[in-house]
Amino acid sequence: MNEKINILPVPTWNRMGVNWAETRAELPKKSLPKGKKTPYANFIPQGIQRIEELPSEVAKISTGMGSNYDDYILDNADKTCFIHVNTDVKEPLVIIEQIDPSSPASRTHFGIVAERDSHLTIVQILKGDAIDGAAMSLTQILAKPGSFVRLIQIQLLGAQSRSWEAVGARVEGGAKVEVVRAVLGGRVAACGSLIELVGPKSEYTLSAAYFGHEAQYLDFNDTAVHLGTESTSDMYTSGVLADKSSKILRGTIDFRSGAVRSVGHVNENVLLLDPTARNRTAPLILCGEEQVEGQHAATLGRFDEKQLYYLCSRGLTPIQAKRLMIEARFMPVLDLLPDEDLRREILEDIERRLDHHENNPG
Amino acid sequence: MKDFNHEKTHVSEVDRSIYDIKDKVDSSFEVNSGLTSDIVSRISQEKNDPEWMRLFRLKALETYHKTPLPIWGPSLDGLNIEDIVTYVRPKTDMRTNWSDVPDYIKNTFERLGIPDAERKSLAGVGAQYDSEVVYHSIREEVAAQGVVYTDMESALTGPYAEMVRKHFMKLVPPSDHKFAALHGAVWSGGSFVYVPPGASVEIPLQSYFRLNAPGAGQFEHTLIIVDEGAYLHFIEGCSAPKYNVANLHAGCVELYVGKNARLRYSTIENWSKNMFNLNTKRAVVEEGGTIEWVSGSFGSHISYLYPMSILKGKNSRMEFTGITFAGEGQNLDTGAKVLHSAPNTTSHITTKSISRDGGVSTFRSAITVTPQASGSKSSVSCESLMLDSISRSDTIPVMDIQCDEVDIGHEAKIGRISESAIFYLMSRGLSEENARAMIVGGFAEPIAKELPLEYAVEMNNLIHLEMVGSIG
Repeated sequence: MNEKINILPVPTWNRMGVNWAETRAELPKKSLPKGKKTPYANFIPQGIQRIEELPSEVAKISTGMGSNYDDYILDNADKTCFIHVNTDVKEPLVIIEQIDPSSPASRTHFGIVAERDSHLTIVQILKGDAIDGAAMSLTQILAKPGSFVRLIQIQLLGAQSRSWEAVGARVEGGAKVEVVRAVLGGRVAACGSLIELVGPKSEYTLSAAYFGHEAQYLDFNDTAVHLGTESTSDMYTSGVLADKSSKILRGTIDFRSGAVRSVGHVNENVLLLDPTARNRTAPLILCGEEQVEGQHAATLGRFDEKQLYYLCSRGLTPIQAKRLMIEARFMPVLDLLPDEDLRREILEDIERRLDHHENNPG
Repeated sequence: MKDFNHEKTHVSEVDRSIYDIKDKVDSSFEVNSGLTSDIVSRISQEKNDPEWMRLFRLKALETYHKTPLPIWGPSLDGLNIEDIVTYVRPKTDMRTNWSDVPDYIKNTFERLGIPDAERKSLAGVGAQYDSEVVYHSIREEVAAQGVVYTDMESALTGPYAEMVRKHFMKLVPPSDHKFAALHGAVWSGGSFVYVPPGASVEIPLQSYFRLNAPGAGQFEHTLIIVDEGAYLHFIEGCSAPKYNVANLHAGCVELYVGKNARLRYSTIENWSKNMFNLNTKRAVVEEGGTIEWVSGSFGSHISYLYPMSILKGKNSRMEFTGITFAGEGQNLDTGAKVLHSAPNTTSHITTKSISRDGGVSTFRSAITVTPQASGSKSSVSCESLMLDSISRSDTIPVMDIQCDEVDIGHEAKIGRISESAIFYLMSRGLSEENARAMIVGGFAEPIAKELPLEYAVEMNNLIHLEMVGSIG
């Protein structure tokens, strides 16, 4: 697929290389046959209804990955999972996508309609590995007034696979969408979210963490569009870059005319472990409304020497202290997970990757 | 209490008219509008270029034709190079005494306060009118230090010809972008400064660029070399009267800051609101050197302006302090670029922007830290103020960090004037309009204090002028 994905909402100098994702994030479209759109058949918690067809108002919700990608998944998905909730669903819907040599590619289309005042948590987990493995997903969410949708995306793929995760949401009055994202594996990992806060007092939070290592390429494009009055967005991304990994984060707050008294924040914190890692960040604020407050902040650097010294003075070895500081980057995300086993699994995954990093420096 | 309305009327009637006074166009020579190799050759011939420069211009023209317009930034739809007259020679040669400058040109610069500033607070002055420098001078005691301050044409053929050739468009090659190529093809005027090792020019030099002819372009070239351990403060000012046709400014500034040298480059840009300001400024800084940019952007219809600093030597540093005020009919895309390419380099960028009456203000930046720049630090802070909901203010920064031993901080804020602050000031007896003007003045204050005094006064006047009628 030669079309561009994760396009920066407003372009800047081409030579900075952030206007869209690098070519290595292009989709392997030609090698994959058209999907059969098989409906998801596994366990669905009580209170969630499957629906056969996604309402057109949901199917046309755009994602941060861009229309090229969205159209591709809409046309070629292997699996579909369209759900409807109109109550407070206590149990999370957990969907695990396993990549392996016998099933090296997946294209999944999720559609969620959260009715007025309903509550829902969805956990999407990507696991496994295969040569040229490819995991693709498209998640479209309609959050009606007063509803709450928490989408948790955990990517634990091996080093040979690639992943693309696109999210689009339309958030109506008083509704809230929360995206929680942890990206740990994959040769290439691309995520693109576009959240439209259309209703008054609609809310969006993004809590994301990543661990870039080996020759991994991570590409994120997260945008909050404020249309409704008093809407709020808060996007926080924390990450670690090691070895020859490379990452681009585009984080955009877009205040449209009429979004009076809206507030948006983008924050990023990057820990750089090796001189060969590369970090690119483009945090945009676009503003067409006077009565708003927008803010972004980014800090990048190595370990805080004072923190390290303190931890070592409390009895930790330098390696233990550094591990603790790396794991701490994931805590804002891990704290939001609904399941202790999942939390433990991710921590163990981080441990394994850190072991590998320490045993194979650079 | 002051009669605020009266004060603003005064500003409106006097200060804006200073910039908008049009002289009758009375050139001794001008090329046809458009851009062809014949036109470029004719400019070269008129200017008695050395042969290498003639060839340079023609090659730059080829590059111009091959280079596409930028895909980013404000629309350039209103700019048609076929309508632009790229060279207008005023009816005078360059003079070193104001009394020798023709009255109508001298009067224009008198109104802009240049000769007065020269007498009071400058070590030297260059004044360009349309395509040529009409006046240049330097104080004897500064010249006695070995400081060279002259027009580019004289430098190109004088004792510093080799130095000029060695540095001319090496920092900003014509291949850099389409308007750098255009500049390479049709440049005219500008200043050359050389500050020898250890020399310190305690009071500033200033070049002022005035574009009078409608539909014309100004393409001055400024080349400054501050040698090892030397210091210079250079001030650049520019203005033009407003016409109904597009004018174009595509100047180029190249600054070479030597080892442990320091250069402060201050600009107040107040082009008329029919101007396309596509200016390129770049500095390279050697070990321990410092470049300081102070920039105020108030004029122009469209602006693309991002001074770039290449921190080439270890421990070199840059500071950028800028303010942009975009009003009706203006789309000002401004910011800064930094390339950290040596260890322990430092950059600080502080900007403020204000948008009102449908104006569009964009802050755009690029911070690149190469793998060689370990121990480097960078901080970027930009604040934007929106004064109404028909304006726009965008912030588009990019950071590219290719080194782990760095300390990078970035913060941006966008917001409006606090209602409670207005309420407080009104409760102390100010009108709402006056309260708003005061808050905007306070917002701009950290930048104003970095400007030379007379420019800080000019900036404050401009802010007051821009605030006229800001309520309702």
